[in-house]
Amino acid sequence: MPSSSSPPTTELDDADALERLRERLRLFAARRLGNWDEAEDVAQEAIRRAIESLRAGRVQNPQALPAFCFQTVVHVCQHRSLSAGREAKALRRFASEDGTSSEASDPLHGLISDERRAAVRRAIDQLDAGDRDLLTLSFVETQDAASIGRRLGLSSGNVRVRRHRALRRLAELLRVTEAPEKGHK
Amino acid sequence: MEEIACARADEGDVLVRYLGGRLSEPEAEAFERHGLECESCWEQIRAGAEIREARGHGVFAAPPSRGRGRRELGPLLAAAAALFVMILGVRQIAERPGVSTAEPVWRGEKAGTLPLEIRPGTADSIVLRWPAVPDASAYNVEIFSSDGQSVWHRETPETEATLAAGILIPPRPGISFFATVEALDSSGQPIARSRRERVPEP
Repeated sequence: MPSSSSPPTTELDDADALERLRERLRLFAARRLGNWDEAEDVAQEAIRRAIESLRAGRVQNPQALPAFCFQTVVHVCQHRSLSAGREAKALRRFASEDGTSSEASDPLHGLISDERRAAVRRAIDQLDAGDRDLLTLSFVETQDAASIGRRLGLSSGNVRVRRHRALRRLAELLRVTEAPEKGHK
Repeated sequence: MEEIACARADEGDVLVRYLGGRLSEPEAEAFERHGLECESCWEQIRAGAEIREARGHGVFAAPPSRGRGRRELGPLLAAAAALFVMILGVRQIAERPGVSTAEPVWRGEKAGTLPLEIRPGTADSIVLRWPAVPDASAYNVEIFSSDGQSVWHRETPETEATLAAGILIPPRPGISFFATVEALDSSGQPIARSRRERVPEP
């Protein structure tokens, strides 16, 4: 029998569900703030407020918790008084514009651990050249499907289908070398 | 990365534009709200972000510069690019060898055209139907708006797809929708394609 101080099971379930949102909230905050440490604080703050609201019985519908957390992230980021101009400046700082910045000095490298980054790099290298080029054009050069299609002689739909398959193959390679979720900060 | 169960990340290349810093803030926020609860889209966001980091880039590319200097340079750069393309085109025409007639190009007789039938379904839905193509392992169905945006996309092994009511809402008057279907072989290569057919209003 649980002790009287143990939180009820549903509350624990809700807390687990919130914990699973942490990585997303951190990424969404990082986009706004351009700083992973601050983004971590904001994600933590959003989860803390949600748990407090749960414990205080202020949450009528637990399914609304993700939206509650997201709204908190948006508000806290705004509260950190990044004006639109400063935000754009932060984003520019956030990105490696010329692609030559070193990982160690780039504050934007913060979503995944060094170990995971190395595993992703190895997995990308194991893909065939076609998959590798497609993923690079899509996610590194961020070209849209139509542009990639023109370059590779494919339709936009075919580019998307191939991209999905390439992502699936990359995930398979990563699954072989690393347990899911491992390595995420 | 699990099976792609949601096409939202593909619609209008929203995922690529998100990571590329090319969505407006309301668009980016709407995509994030969706990604917060959609496992399929979140997996794609994370995969794209991981690839960027693994390749030595930040998760998000810098948003396109809107500085005054760049705006002033824009017309000049466009004119220079147009001139360059014209010169290149003239040179290529001058150097082009005779046209080969050995093999028909894709879309020719070998590729085959896929007849696409579009008819109203139940409850304002729209049903797209096409005949099975030998050697096809999947069909790639895509709906475009008349301003060139991809609004819906699905890969299916079936020879029918149903568009639920509400998908085809014109963003502004005068916009209509078109559908195409491609038959893909087991390696993802197109082996037949339909003409672009207009989708009737529900």
